[in-house]
Amino acid sequence: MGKKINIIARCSAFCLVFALVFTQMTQMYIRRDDETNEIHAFYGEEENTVDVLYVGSSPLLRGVSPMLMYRDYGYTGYVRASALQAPSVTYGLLAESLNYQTPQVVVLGCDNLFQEYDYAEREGDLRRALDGMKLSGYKWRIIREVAEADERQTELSYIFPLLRYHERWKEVNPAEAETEPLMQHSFKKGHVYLRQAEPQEYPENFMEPTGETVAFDESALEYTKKSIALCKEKGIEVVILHLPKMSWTYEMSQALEEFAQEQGVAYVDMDREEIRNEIGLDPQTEYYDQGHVNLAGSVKVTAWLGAYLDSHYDLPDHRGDENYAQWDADLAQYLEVSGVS
Amino acid sequence: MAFTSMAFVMFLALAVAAYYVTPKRYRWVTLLVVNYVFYYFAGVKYFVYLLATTITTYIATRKLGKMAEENKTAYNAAKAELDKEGKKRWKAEFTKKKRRVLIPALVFNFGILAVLKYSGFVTENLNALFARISVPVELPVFHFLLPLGISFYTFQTMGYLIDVYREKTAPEKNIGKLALFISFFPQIVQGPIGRFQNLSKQLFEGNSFSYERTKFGVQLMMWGAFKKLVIADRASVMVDNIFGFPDTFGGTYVAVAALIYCIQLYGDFSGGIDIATGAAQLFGVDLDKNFERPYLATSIPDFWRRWHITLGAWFRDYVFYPLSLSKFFMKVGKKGRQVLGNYIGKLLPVLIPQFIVFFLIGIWHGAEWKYIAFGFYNGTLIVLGILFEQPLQELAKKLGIRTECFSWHLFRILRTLVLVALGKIITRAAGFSLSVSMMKSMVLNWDTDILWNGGLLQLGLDRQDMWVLFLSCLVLLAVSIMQEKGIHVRETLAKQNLYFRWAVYLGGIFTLIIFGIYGLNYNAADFIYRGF
Amino acid sequence: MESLLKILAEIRPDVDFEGNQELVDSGELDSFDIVTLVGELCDAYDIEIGADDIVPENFNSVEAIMALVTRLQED
Repeated sequence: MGKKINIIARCSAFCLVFALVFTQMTQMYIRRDDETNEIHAFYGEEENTVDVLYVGSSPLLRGVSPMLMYRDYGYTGYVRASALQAPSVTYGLLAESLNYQTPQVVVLGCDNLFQEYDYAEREGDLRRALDGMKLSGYKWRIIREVAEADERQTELSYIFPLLRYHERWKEVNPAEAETEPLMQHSFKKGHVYLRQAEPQEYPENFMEPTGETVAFDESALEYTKKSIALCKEKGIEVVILHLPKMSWTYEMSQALEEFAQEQGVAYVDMDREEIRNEIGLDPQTEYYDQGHVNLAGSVKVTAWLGAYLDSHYDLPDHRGDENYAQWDADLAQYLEVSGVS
Repeated sequence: MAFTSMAFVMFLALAVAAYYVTPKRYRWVTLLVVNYVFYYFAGVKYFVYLLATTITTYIATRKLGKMAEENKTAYNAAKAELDKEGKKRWKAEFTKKKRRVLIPALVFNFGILAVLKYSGFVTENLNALFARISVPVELPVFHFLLPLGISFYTFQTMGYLIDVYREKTAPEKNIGKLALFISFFPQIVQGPIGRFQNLSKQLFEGNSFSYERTKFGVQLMMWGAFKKLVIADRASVMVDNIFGFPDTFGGTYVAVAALIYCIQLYGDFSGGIDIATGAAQLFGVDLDKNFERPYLATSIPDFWRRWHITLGAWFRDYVFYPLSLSKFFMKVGKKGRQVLGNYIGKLLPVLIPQFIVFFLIGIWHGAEWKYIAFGFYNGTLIVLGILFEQPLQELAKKLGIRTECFSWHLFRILRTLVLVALGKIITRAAGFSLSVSMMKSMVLNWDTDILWNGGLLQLGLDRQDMWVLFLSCLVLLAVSIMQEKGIHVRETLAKQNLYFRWAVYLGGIFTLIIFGIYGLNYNAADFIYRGF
Repeated sequence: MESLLKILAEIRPDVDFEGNQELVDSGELDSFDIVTLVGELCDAYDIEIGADDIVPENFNSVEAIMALVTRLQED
């Protein structure tokens, strides 16, 4: 009997040591994208303190600054967006987030509705979002779907990212490698801005009818409907948001608006002429590339969106509330680091 | 389910748990169910073949067993009245009777294997022949997908059948237990080819859980995975490049490829066997040894005693001995002595069956001309080795070469390695004629500069990977030399103190996790030997 | 026994047979030696040795070989 206990104790101790080393190794070799960090740092927010939640693809994380809205109106927000976010990931992230936070408004970036999402092609983009997500039923369902669609990818490699990133041993210098966990707290609240500017020009006949036919992807549509249904069920308002993008078309805009009406949710299209004029982006200096605004652009986009949300929804003002002291501190840091005035 | 896949690890864990949860008496039943679940994953339609072999073998062996019993009684009753000639005749009669059961069973089961494995090759070549001699016949060509492990389980089962025929073992009366022997999942994929005498007790009696044995089993599996994932799959990148582009990589590259392919094949095959052996140990079953440091062999026959041992032993016991001891070859031997003289004549009944065995081992590997060539290559080497053994020994004596020292031993090892590596070119090249032209290019365009001028880095592995490969091979060599010296590595390790042991274990596990070739960018190549 | 030792010495002059208990298991007699030996034994003792008699136990020592021969002579 004593021997048995001894063996069990030794085995457990070994497993513990193994787990410690494994975690360290994972942290050494995992690819740390900004958006992965931001998605992960969401868990660091106090529960039930986020008023507006943003989920969807990269235009959101480049263009929306919850911190500036907090400065101007006092309501809080967090962007859990990632490059080319799969609709299934958007849904999973949203559903998971609602376990931690009770936002009044959810802003959905829905540009991905028109795309057929190929899990095999988009492994990197999937990882950007999923590596930042804790393991949960939501994550499990996504990675199941991915592993079923692409046999080269395994659930296990998403649960234990080291099994994916181990081959980075060549590029990571162990002496210099970060051994910290992913980011625990974000002062940017998911706004991963970029400063460079690439001069853009509106295409000829931008946002004018051409008669092209556009269609939603079946699976994307289904997930977006699920996302909306989930919000409705929880009594959360939904805004479908399109951010400035040079390749956007009149037909896509129309289709999305119709969809929003059908679902009974709000639709905001920043490429519609009236809004475009109000925002007043300078294509020469305020775009990072044709599909994303840069920091200067995001300031303008956020100013407009902040006002829109403030006027359409009854969002609280937390400024000065001592429970939100951390937000004030984060704001100060955000302004200092970004240099936005 | 590849041995190095997570699916296999999980399957194995569940299977082990199920085994030890079952009451001892019924553990063999659990094991049988586990085997069939494993086989089910490989493809449900293949069950037909497995069951056909199981059932026909069961019927034949039971019949043979009954005949032997009846014969014994009858013989004992009649024995007193028989003279020597009579006894001989009785025996011959009985053998004939037994053969009437044995041969149909052998033909049926080897027939399945032959049709599935070789019919495509045979019909294709016949069609080519017909076309050449302008016979307007075209046979339909079928290429079958081979059922998992059919080459292995067919040989294992037929070995058992022959043993029953030879009355070496009593036939198993329980068809479930026979089915278990045939389908034991760690070994059905790629061997080793087991013997009933060795396995039956271990499989059929419920084994108790042993911590030590389980630990050793897991360690052996990790070691196998190391050989497979860190060494073989890394080496395969270079090998595939050279053999894939023989026009680009000629000359010394061919020699490099042959050497690296030796490493790859050994890492892959023996790694897989280690995983199988380790997995079997988790159930308390010791499989037969299949490798004994083959590249430290000092001669070609020695190599074949160390490489794929169970296959060699199978052919020795069930083909070589029966052939060379048959009346026909005994006669050939006598005739030979009269015609060719004592020395060669005596060797004839050994050499010809040996040649046949290597021909069979060749085609066992696959239905292609290159494997036949491979068989002949090995057969020829062995025959030459025997024929020149005495003259060479005398030559060495005359030249005053000492043969009892390390340098001579090393020379013999390297010489054997070179011969083996040349043989591997034959099996790895896309076709036999290509392997010949590669060897030609190796001799004619020999240029060792590529070893120093970065030429090696054009083969798909960068400097870092080369280092990992090199150091891993050193570890493999060190362990092999230790084993060759009779050191039991796992037992020796178990005697070290805890910190050292844990450091080694963790080092091993993380070497596997970090440096193993698996995951998305690398398609962990299926075990090379699985297709056979 | 004497005659057997003589036969063995002819086949493998380099092996010390007497007292050796694992001629086959240790690899000193390989399959070629066995076949040659069986041929000689059959001639010398007028017996028939079949493939089923070729197991290591029958050839591991001089005594074992002798026992095999005796058994087959009596059978």
